[in-house]
Amino acid sequence: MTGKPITGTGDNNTPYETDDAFLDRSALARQVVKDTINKVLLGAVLILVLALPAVITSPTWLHIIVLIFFYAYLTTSWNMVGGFAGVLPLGHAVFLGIGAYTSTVLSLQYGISPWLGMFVGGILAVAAGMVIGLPTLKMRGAYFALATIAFAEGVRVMVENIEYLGPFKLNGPRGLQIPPLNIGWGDFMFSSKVPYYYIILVMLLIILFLTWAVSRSKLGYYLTAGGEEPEAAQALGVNVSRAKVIAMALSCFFTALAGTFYAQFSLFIHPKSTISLDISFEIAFIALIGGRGSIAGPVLGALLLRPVSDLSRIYFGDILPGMHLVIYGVVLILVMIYQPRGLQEPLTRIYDRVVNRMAAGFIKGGDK
Amino acid sequence: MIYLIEDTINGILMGSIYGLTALGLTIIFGVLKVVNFAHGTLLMVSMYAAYWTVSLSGLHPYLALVIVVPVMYVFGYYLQDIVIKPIFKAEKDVREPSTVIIVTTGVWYVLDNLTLMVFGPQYRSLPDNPLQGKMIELGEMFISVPKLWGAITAVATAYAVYYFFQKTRTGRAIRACSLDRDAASLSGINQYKIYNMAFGLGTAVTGIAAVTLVPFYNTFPSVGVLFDIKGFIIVVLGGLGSIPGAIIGGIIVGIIESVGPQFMTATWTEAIVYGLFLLVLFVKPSGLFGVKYDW
Amino acid sequence: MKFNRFWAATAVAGLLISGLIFTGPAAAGETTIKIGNIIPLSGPSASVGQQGKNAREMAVEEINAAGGIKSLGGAKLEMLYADSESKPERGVSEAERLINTEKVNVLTGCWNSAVTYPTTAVAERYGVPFIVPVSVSDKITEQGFKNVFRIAAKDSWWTRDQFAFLKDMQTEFNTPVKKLAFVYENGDWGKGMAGQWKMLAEKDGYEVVLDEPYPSTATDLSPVVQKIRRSRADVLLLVSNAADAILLTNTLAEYKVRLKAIVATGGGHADPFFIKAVGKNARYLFDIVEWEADINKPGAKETNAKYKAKYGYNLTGEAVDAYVSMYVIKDALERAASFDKDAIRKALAETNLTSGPGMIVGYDAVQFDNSGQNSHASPVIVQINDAGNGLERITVWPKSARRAGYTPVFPKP
Repeated sequence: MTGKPITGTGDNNTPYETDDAFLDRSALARQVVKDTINKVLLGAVLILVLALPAVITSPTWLHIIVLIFFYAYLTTSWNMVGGFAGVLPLGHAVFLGIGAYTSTVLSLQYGISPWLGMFVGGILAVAAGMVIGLPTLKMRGAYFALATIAFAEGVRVMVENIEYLGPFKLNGPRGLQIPPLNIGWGDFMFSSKVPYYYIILVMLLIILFLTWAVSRSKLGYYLTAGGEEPEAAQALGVNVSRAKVIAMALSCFFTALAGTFYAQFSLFIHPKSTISLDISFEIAFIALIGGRGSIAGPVLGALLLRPVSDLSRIYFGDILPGMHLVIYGVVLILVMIYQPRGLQEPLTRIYDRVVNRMAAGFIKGGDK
Repeated sequence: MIYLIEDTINGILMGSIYGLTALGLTIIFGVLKVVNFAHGTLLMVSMYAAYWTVSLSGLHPYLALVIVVPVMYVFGYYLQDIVIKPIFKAEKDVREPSTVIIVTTGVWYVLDNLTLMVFGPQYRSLPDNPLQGKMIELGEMFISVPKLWGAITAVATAYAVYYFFQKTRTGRAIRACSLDRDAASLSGINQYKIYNMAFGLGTAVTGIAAVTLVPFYNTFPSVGVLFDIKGFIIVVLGGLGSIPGAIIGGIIVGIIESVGPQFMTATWTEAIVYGLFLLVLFVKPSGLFGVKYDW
Repeated sequence: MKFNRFWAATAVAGLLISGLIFTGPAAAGETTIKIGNIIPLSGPSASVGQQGKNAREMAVEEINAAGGIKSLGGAKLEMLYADSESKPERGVSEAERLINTEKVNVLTGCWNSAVTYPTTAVAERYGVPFIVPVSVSDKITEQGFKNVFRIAAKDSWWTRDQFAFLKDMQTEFNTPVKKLAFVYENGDWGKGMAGQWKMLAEKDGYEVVLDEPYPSTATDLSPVVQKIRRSRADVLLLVSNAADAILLTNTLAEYKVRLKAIVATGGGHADPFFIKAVGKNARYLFDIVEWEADINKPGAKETNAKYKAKYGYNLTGEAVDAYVSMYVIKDALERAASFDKDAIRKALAETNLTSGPGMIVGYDAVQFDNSGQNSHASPVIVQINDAGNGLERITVWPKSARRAGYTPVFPKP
């Protein structure tokens, strides 16, 4: 796939355009038009997602979309360490769980608003992330993946064994239920799906912006360098492990925020479902299917994979139990075999081609 | 005191069987340098193979080895050839392609649920097999006969595999390939064929583990999941890729699970196992028998 | 090259997904009442989910064949099943979908208490009546919900009956029981039961020599069995799921653990394949269930025979609860004579079902108290033994329901 021109024209080759843009007036014009198209499209998408709840009134679909955004958010948080730092964490549900449990315990026992509990959970998750991250982040591939699984499973087993952690009631395997008594923004609890939609949308936009900012920063550069060629980067004086630790901290913090959202959205948390390997794995699947290490990858992955899992369960769940997971598994295998770098690459290319065509069209039209 | 001895013996026996279930995982990692997340599922498939062989033929459970082992070898060989090989070809330059984790998890979902669709969700066991419920009684002490046989099989299998890798031509070729892919292919070894064989071998060993389990354990579609995470822990404890390490790692887990409950509730021993796992990982990431080179 | 292959794969996937969207269950007309059922059809509880589905299926076929809901012009019941995979998150999503998109009139489910809590909360929010055939945790009907109705007894009743049974056995056979051992799966169900046991044991003056939760994913239960053996308990009380019930029973027999009785709590011990899987090791085991095939109720034998012919195994207590649920819904619909969920809810609350094909249960009526709990629900206790026809489950308690001519074996020889 890499470096192979798709069409013979070669004019969709970005380096060519940027290098020669100053020489070629028409190329420069095209670049300007393309930038405009990009901005317009981005704006259109933004308006579309902002207006979506007005169009989609069915709570079912809204629920499904909220979950898509939720997983897109989770995976984008995961991506900070799993994508850019080049390791494969497979236990991120533990940070989700820490966030969910912290804000829930604080609000149930002390009446503290989940909005505040959310950040306490985030800080605790960073602490937990350091416990597992500091000794393991320097390890490669399989070891780091297995260590994170063991950490998450270990925490789950602990929570299942603990009824009371000091003064805090965790309620062991039975989990915690949030009674839907106080509805409103202060209590992060709503009877309609729409507020949840906007909350997760804003969270997703923030995390996407942050990822974009990080990827352009020195940190992002260090991470990418460290992920690809750790020895070389180290030799150049890049403190790779420090960069990885920072990425891990950011990732844990934002994952925990999603935990509070999860708790407030489902109003029930229990160790088996909240700190579950299924969630940890699903995050990694979405990232790899979408394209890890890219900004759009996690969103694309969630947009593609979540509907596969939801729709196949809806349509096959009762006729052929298990069929939906077979389909899910087959999709995973096929995408990985044909697009091991994820779907983000070919989709970006298609997008580029479409924008190019449009730009060409506009310019031609303008000449006349 | 006698309790402690009894529990330790049970722990060693059960642990050896855990080690045997994890042996295939470590063989596959040792050569392909990837963690096979479909490992538990392969154990499940093997258990169905063993279950049906024994219950249809009425043979002694261990005679099922004759059928299960070759069948699972072929199954593993072609699973690698058809599903996993394309990934290696696509990601030639990556040392430990993480995409393989996703693909093998996909295989796990597909096989587990196909089994559910074909055989239904029932729990199957062999209540009248000649090993069922047999116990050696030494005064107050009990030793389970099927577990004893399982443990003996585990150690024998580990020795056989070790011998195979050290002494036979094919075994050496596989090891050469695991040490240095490029050099191996330069010297005329077909890398992908070696991978197929290693995967087949790992799966066949998993078949042996299944045969030792069916006389006293249940077979059902999601049984593999119970052994999956345990297998990961065992192989990292022992050192990923190390054959004696898998058995020793298994025995350590077995002893904790068996002796631990006498001092706490059984649910806490799980936490102890994870704790020890992380401790070993922090202190000696290469595991007890692993080579430092590998991490 | 590769790119083309990618497109081929995408096209296939696209076709699949669009196929999924457009070939969904055809929209039903006005003349059907939709019943949404959220049960575990895949994953670790798939076995029990399948039994519940079979029982519902059979009841609905009968109801529809008998002319549907007469007060609604012979409207038929239409069943929609959703797989919860035993996961609360899935259960909630499916409840949202069944209520909002499929517009179901009634919901049933979910077997796993952990799925039932949040799912009933969804139903409550939309005001859709929710029938819980089995999920025994007390808490389910103590959430203050108006739309939740449970057929099965709640766990405080199960434990109450287990202790009453123990007391009766001691007097009947003049064998004192002093020491109890509690062994249970470490989940919502096991913990809930064990909490009740502890209170009752204290009240009745038993000594608790072992209180042991275990993970139901355990691959070796001999350490737990060793603890039971060494505790020298008289009676062992169990709460187990399927795989662990089989493993525990076999291991207890292997270690020749001497107990006066083992009293299990349905679940894995009531699985239709349990006896087949453990054989003679199940002998003399007591189990508390909602229903048994030898129950002395008109129609029970025929219904069980029909079920067995259809699906290959006996009805279990859990399956019967699902079966009864359908008749409770039918009865409520007849009286409500309306598709409106409020009318159905009101009719359900006023249920007093005493006869009809659904009433094969051991008690006389289905009536819901203010919390939505079926106030007549009462479990029976059976013993697994060979009374001449191979191992089977024989009702022994309460004495009025005991199979004629059978004397329970207590203590265990």
